[in-house]
Amino acid sequence: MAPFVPILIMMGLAFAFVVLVTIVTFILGPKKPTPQKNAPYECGISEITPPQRRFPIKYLVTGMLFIIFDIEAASLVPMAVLMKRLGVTGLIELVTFIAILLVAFLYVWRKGAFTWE
Amino acid sequence: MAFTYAISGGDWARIAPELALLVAALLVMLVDALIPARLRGALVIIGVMGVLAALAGVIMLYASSGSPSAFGGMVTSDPLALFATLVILAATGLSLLLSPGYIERQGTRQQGEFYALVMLAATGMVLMAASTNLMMIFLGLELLSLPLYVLCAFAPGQQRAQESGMKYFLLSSFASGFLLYGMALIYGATGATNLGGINHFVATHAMSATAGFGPILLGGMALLAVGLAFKVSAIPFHAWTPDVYQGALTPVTALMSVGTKMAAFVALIRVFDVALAPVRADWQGIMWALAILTMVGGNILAATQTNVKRLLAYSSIAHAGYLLIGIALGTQAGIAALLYYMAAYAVMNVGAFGVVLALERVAGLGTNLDDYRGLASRRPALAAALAVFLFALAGIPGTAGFVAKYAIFAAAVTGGHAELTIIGVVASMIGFYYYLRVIWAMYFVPAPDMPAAEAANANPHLSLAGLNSAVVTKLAASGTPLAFSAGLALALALIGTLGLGIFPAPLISLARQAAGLP
Repeated sequence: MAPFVPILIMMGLAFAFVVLVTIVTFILGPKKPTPQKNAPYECGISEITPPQRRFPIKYLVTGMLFIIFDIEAASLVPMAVLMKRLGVTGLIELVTFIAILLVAFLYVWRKGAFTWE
Repeated sequence: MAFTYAISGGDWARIAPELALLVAALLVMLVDALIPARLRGALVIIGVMGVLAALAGVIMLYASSGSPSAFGGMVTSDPLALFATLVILAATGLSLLLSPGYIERQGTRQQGEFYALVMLAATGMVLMAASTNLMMIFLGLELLSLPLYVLCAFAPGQQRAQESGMKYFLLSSFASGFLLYGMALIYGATGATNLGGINHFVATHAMSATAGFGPILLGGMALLAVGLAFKVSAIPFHAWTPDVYQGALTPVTALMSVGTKMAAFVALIRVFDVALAPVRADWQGIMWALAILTMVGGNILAATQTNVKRLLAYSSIAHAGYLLIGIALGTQAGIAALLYYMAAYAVMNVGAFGVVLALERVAGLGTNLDDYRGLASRRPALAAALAVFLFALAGIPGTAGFVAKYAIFAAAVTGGHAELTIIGVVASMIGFYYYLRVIWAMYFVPAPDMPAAEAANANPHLSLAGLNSAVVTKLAASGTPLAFSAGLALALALIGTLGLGIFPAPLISLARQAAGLP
């Protein structure tokens, strides 16, 4: 317990300072409210048009394509490290895995995901 | 721990049905990318071929001998998994056959994606039913859920479909969180994610509810029950069901209502009735209460519906209640009855949704009870088929629904829970009211005076679907013609509904085998 006493004192002092400052400014400070001052604090300027509108998300397709290749890389590296111990069965499974990815790749290609308008 | 890698060709053969469905899904995507747009309607053929190949896989596995377990105890091809796979394949095949014609009518242009996602969802369902490890159950659940989220919102420009997909996505992800947390706690309590390991630990250790790992296990069981009860839409976790079922394209609804339920019920059987059987006293009360709430609540809520798709959604909640009796009993007879019930439910429910689909116009129009008035004189064959399916769902003798209800109520009596039988029978009495209300509207109420075309034109959703009023008028006036494949699906469902009702013995023996009975 003893090593924490200074920290506790520090916490108490910090708390007391906050309370003190709040009370003092409340008593001494001048009060001249205006509508702007009463409005809740927001950062930035108020919006001109409603923000909920549709916008093109080309990066969505890019993101999904990234996942295909990301998963491929993430799965290939550990398999490559263990390839000798996995043997022929491992090789067949690796080829199957890549074949499935290839279907996805062919699919997005033929559907025009690589054309950037 | 030493690194072992012992996967053989035999392991792959044990998941032949899943592989067939997965290959079909990939082929659909590949062919879809390579053929011109006007031919894409033919992609359904690849899907149906995939289902048939998976069926061949199931038959091969039924005939094969040796240990059914594969991939180090992760998945199995025991009779329970194979029976569930049969039910899921039946639902998938019928839903696929119902889709051509209908999904074009709804304005769907991405037919390849539709069939690929249906096949992937079916793969997930079969995988979940075959899982013997909590992690694999979760993986199967996610694999079936993710395609279904997309499929629910598949109808382009229809707000109801978007609402359906969004609601299912948000609520189902939330429920998945419960499920996963429950699995984590069970793993924490028992030190195993493998169901066999959990069973071994629970059987060899005294589980007190107040000391040791007992409270953690209790918490895990509760969270797991919430997650799975959500998937089978048991009350009080049912709130998503009507909105999602109503907004989704009808073949998707048909697939969801049967396939997801079957997969989740197999998970319930494997986790509660088998793995956690030694602590049955701790969970039986929950399942008992869920069964009663779901039976009574589902039937009462369905009685006030005026939309046939919503009515069938609430009816599917009520049927989940009857099925939960099989879980609550915890006996093998209860499981066998549940499995038979699920098979009967598959044909009669997909059949009922099939007729709804044949009568449905764009944007969910033509699914109100008023639209069914005088149907018997306008479309006598469809009206008769729907009448048979609804009689079966109500449980009239001579149909599959009666044998199923009889089996599950008889199992409840012999299992020492006669009160479940009494409540179930009273609840199905309420059920008669709303099923017969549809039949009454079809056969004994004359068709409305206002032509359906005017009603259709008055609906603002149609402009969203991008159809001009001339097309709508033509569709409404002539009635949409039934596609050949949809007619085939309805005929198969009809044969199944009546066949299982008149000759139930072969399937009952198959269900008993799946439940481990002689």
